[in-house]
Amino acid sequence: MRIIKSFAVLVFGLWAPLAIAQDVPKIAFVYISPAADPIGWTHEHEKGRQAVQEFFGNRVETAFFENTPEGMDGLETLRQIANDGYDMVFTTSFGYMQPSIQLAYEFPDITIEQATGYVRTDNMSTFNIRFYEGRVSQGIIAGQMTKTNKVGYIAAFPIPEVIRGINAAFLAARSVNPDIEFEIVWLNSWYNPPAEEAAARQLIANGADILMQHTDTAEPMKVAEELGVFAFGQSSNMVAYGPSAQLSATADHWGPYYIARVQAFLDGTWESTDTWGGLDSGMVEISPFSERIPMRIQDQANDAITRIRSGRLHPFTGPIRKQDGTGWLAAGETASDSDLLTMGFFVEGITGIIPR
Amino acid sequence: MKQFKTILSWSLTATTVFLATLVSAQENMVTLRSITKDFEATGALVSSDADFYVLRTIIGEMNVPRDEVECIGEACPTASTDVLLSSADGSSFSGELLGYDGTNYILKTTIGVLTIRSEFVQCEGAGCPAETQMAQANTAIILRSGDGTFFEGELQEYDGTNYILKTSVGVLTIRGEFVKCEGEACPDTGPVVARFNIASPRNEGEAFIGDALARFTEEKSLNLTRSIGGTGNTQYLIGDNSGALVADITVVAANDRASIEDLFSNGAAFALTREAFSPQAVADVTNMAVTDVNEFLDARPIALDAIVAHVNTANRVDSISITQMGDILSGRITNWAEIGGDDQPITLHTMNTDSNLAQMIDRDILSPRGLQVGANAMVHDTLDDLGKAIAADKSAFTMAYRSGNYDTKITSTRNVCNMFSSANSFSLQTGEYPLTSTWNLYTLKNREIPDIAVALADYLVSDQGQAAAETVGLVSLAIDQQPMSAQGERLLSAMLAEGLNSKGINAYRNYLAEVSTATRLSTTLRFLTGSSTLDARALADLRRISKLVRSGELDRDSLMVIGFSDAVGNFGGNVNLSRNRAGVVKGLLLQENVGRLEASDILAFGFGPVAPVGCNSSIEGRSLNRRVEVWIRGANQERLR
Repeated sequence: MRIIKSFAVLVFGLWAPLAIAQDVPKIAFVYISPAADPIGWTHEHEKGRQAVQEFFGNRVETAFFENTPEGMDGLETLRQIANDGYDMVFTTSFGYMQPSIQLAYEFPDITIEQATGYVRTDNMSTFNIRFYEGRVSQGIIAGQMTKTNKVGYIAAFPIPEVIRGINAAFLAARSVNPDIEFEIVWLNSWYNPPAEEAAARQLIANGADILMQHTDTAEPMKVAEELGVFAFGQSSNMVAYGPSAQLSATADHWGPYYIARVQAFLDGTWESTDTWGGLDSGMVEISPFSERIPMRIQDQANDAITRIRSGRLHPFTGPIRKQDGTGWLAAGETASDSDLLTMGFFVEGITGIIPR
Repeated sequence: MKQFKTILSWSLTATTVFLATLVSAQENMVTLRSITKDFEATGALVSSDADFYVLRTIIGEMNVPRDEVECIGEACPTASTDVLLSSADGSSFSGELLGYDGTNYILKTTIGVLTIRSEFVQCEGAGCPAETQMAQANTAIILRSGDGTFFEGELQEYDGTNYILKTSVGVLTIRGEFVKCEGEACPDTGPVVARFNIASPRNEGEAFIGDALARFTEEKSLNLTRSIGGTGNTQYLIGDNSGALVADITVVAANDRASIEDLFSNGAAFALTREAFSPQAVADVTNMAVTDVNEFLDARPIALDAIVAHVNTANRVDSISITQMGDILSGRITNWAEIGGDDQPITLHTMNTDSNLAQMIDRDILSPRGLQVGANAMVHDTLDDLGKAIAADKSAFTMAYRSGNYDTKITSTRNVCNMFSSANSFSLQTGEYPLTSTWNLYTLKNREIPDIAVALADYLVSDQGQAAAETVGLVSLAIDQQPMSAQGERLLSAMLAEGLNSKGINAYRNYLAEVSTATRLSTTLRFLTGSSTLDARALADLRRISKLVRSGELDRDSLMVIGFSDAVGNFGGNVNLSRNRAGVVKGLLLQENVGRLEASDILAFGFGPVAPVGCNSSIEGRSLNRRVEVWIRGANQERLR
């Protein structure tokens, strides 16, 4: 019994309402943008929610809260969700980390799944995807489909997650094509349609015939389609925007994770965990390869995917040097998760600069 | 139960207790506040342990669970296991460190117990685990000087010039050049990164610099990476092959006035502008009296552009005179049929009045005739919007830059004395297209800028940089050549020019005879008003011609320098004047190319007021006419008889 709270009742009479128990568990999904986005980050989370609803049918009640502001501005919505009696909430962006921590504190009986953050509590788990595993097949395909030996990479922020993706793609491309070069543009944003379009055009004008992106719109794919070059989709299968252009895509696939976590909640076995799922977890899906990719190359890429999935291949396996020539991984040595999470350098061979 | 009794006993002597509390509690007054703000109490902190604070207030003593509240006040206990975990994303978490397993920190905070993945945060504070503390800077260093003296201590700071070292005899400031640093904490005293801004016109300006930077870095085996920021300005990072940063350049897009302001206020290392700056314009910006821009600024022409009429590609009208441009802009002409097109009202589009474009149009077309833009114009805020509007509307008309890459048609023009000119690149280079403007690169005199900025500015002016100008739709200043056969329109205009009498016709025939088998260079040299000194553009052009001579390309040709004058004054006098001007150019060329050019390699002529390229009725036109053309004739070519 918490003494402080009963004392407060006597003296001050203020009280935070308790969650009201419902018969059917209510599960909330919090999005940074509209649920009706046709592709992209939120779209894939929404597909995850729909998978949950479909799988559990009338055993759960799900709802989404779209366009929720990030940062502590979103706390109001989260409190509302808790006050409305939701039992579980998925907060689908790094920007919800802080308000989720606050929510976890204020409502100790609510269960929170926080995407891409790094803080957990008894009632809050974190989860993320090893997107860099998807870049390996991109690199293998790009390295052999390019005629100009130049890949244009539309990057967002110079943070480890983005740097991992560039490094993984480059290493894989170099492994099949020693002459490949990457030109990287930093947009300092996850979502900026005009800048993504302009960057795509500029990269192609500079000679890239394959585009990779770590930003959230289909603009680069559309430009690739218009100008007759190749591109890889990001977050979602973007083949609708690039029927000829898309070679493949790395799609987020949240359904299996969401279903597993809801199941655990229903079973009463839910615990706070940190999940960083790769190809093995089903959380990242490689979209079907374009028919324009020769079968030999498709087989090579599929082989890499299978081996990563089974743990026989690690995307960062030495010998690898850093861009400045110093050693990083010895022959056969693989990068630890710690290395990956703090990655702030490019590997040898990349000519781009990381802004600091 | 204990609480209740305590409350009862205290309540009986509440007043006394209250006073006593006030008097005695100064030293250990604290406030305990829950984070959800539904509880707060101020009182004397009697004691505390790992789980509770014991607080004495006016209504009694209470035990408050420590993990429910934060303690505010000097008397609050600081746990020796308090740490601050801060992350690069700006988050920070403070509290008591309960555990660390190599992967996660377990931190007790005022908002609960948090499990924090260690790779994302740095730990500060006495409670930080030993392993993480070692990762923090071991600041012990030794600074050793050549004469054997050395200083040992903790490095507090290195600012690029001095080491600030905390030693056993106090904090010392030690000049970096005199010592060598030993120890892990020694700073990387590698090459200093050159960070600077370039002020530039939008669109073509930004593209020009971007393209030139790509060529520049390629040539010097450096790497170039672009970073687009929230402000919309592009940052260019130049690095060497090891990924080390060499230069960090931000291109700030603005109109000419803002760019010059930026230059004077030390914001920009150099500025590109759409046209040359008048003394008045510089005076406006600097609030100083300016008679000669060169007192403050070094100016170098770096490209050419022009203001042209853009119409929809479906529009039948091919040519619009300068007078008609003014009439359409001011609303005096409102229908395409009035200028030979279809019977359709003209939709007029313009840029907003703050823009360089609007100001140039006002100054060069409207103000000379006392006109103003018509009230029914559709005003746009960006050049892109303007271009799209014309492409979308069959009846649209605008005046905009020739370099604008729009899906429109550019019409040719005629000046007031009916000289016809299409806005092709040669006619801009010779200055014969009436609304040509020269892009300039300005640096502030006597201001030091990084070496790489100087190298880049030189590169923009060079022929390689000029290739970048061409790529983005500007016209380069590199020498172009045009054979006689391609000059029909200009020569026709010259023939039809007003005021051509029999002396003029003869001179004109002589001119044509000389050049009939020759090729004209785009360099058309002009002089400072009323003098025989060449202007800045002409001096630069002379250097280009000399470079061409040195390249050996002209070894088997004769150079012809042909002088012209305006039509003011008598014919004979003007012929002499123009011949003298040609002579000046010949002399300069010989001087610059001793050993490569003999006097017999250069033929100098003067034809006076014939073949005008501008209207002699205006000041601008007359100064255009006062020129020296440069032609080359093959060794085995001769003038026509």
